[in-house]
Amino acid sequence: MDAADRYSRLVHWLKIALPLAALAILSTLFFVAETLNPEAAIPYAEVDVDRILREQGVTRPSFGGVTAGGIAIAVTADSVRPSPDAPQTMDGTTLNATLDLPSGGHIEITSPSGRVDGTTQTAALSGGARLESSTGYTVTTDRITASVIDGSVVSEGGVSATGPAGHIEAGRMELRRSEDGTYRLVFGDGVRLIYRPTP
Amino acid sequence: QGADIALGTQTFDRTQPVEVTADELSIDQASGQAVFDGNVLVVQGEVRLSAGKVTVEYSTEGTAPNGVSRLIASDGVTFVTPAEAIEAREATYSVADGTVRLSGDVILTQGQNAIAGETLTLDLNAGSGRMEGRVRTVFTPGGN
Repeated sequence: MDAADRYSRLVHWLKIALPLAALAILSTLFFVAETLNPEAAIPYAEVDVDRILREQGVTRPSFGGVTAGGIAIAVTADSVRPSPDAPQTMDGTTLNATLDLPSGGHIEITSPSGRVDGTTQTAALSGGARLESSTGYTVTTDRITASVIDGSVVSEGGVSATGPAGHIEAGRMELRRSEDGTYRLVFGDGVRLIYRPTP
Repeated sequence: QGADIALGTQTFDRTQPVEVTADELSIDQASGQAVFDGNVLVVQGEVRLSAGKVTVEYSTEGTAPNGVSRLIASDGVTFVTPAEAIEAREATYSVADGTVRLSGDVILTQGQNAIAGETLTLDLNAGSGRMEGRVRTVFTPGGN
């Protein structure tokens, strides 16, 4: 008889203990919930607002046109600010100039900094400019000036270049239009080329 | 008729670096052709070639140029090796296999004697050459 008693007493206690346990678990539900931070819900841009107000700047500007000789020039920069000492000119960072030549061929010039002059329609890429031509030549020099009006591209200072013909050192470099309308990259002021034949 | 010539240069190594100096080098942006202009001097080892103009011809792997195969010199060429001096109007210097072909009033002077003709082909590796076309030999008799 007592086996049945013990069983029913067990069930009797369980009927009380189990609901209490359920209540306890339910109540802790709200303690473990992760703390909601209403601030983080909307991410604010951490941009120095007063810097923007103080300087007028343009981000991702582009500037260019088609020259008389038919070259399509596009100059872009990461950000540009009006330069203090010259009117109509902007100083920019990471400039990139691309030239599509009418006779086929493509030239891309990049530089860490530069100045775009609206009056003379020229872009001076400085701080170590690098020119890559579709003919496989890569030229590095200090400064390269590209003009939208006549499509001239001129390096200031010595240049060094590498390409299919070998390694080239020269006093200056210029994109020149020959009579038959084709464009040639001309190295001048004493050119020295070293070519190592592959054995 | 032609005349065979033995060149003094036995130690020509065609893998030596080729150095070209000139007043101007222009690279055509459409074809990629490179042309040296204005007292061009090509030096490889002890061999020197000077000319008014030198056009670079690439050897192409597929479409991409992957090295220089020939230098075509014009506007008056002088080709100097330690033992000889050669004058001609044009020359094609094949860097790839170390041969030179000079043409147009070629005059080769070797020590005392000189040979003239229309074309001269030289194989620098073997140190031999062949002069063709109205070959004339000029000896200076018995210099004291």
